Amino acid sequence: MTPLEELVRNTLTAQAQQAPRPTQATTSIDAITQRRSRSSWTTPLLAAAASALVVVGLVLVANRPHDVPATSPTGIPTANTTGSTACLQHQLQIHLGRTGGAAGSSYVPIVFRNTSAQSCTLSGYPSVVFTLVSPSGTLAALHNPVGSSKTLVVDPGKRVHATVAITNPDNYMTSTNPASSTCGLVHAAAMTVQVGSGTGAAVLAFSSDMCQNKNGRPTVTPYAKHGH
Amino acid sequence: VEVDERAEFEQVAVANAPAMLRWAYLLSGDHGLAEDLVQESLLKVFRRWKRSGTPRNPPAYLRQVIVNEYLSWRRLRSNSEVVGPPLEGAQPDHAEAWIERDLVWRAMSRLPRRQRAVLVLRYYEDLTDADIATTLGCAEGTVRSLASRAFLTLRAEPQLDRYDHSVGNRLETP
Repeated sequence: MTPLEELVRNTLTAQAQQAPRPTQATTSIDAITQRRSRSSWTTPLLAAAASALVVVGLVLVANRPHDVPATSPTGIPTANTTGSTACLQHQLQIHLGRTGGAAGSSYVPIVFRNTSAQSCTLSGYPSVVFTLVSPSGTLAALHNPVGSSKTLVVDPGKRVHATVAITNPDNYMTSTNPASSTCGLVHAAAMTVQVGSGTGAAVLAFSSDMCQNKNGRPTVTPYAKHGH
Repeated sequence: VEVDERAEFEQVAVANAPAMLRWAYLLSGDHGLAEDLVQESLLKVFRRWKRSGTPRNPPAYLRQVIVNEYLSWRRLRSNSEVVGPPLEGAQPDHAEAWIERDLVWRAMSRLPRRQRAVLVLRYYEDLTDADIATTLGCAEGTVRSLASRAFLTLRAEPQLDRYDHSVGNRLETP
């Protein structure tokens, strides 16, 4: 099997896990017949409304409620030695903090606030992917292994953060090569943030020039306690 | 008799519902459409069930009905309008893989339905090209051609063009 075939297989396997779960109404002939007769004239309207909701949902998905709790790939909620379970995306309010800057880079904290009533844990790095508009595409932030990446317990109402560093593309520009090939200048219009064990993603408005080549590419730090 | 038939049918439907929803979702790329696709298919199967009794291989039969329903469904919006949710469950150190899977999923949503069905049956269901041909009611050569064209489209994605160009006609393992 070639790498692209392998990628297609992995994509389908990952997506299959997101398929809807059956309910009693899914397989009950009576329920299907009833639903069909009830919805025959409203279906086109509902389809259009659902389509619009999916688009809106992509933006609002950060705080969406879930029918079932997110689980590990084995289907079992993940727990650690503290007894808290890994934070799920819908337990967290995610926003960008105030941008700082130094030495040719800007630093943007991504703040994760536990809005649930239970403590939960975050470890490692958030997944950060930029949506590019010029040219269109996506760009993942590289990991910047500063500090320790130990597991943090996030109590209800408390915050942790991870910091995204954006190298200023001007660092790479010269008078003869304004859009330097060393940098690979691109423009991002949004940032998609996922916590490791959650489902869904937070899509945050974020506009910035950045470099897509490896030596100037955005990075993200591990989770750290807020205020540290 | 009708009660027995119905009970037997619903038993098979319940047992196969998770798989049917997975097939329908991978084909349609949309939760609501997947539910509708499964229910429309079940209704058709039930009508035939009453006439002809239990099929010999219910899972394969249900899969075939869902695929055919997907291919012929007038209600299904055009593929270009299907907007899937973001891929979920990504781990923080797998952002690159997440991006690539997202690209493939989005590119698949733009494929013609028969091409997408071939990819789902080949790479998710692991069917042979002969079985896919039977399911779709076409020749094996057509299956290979559909797969080849699907991969051409996938490779046209700017970030997938680094993948080699030899895919489409898979090597059959003995």
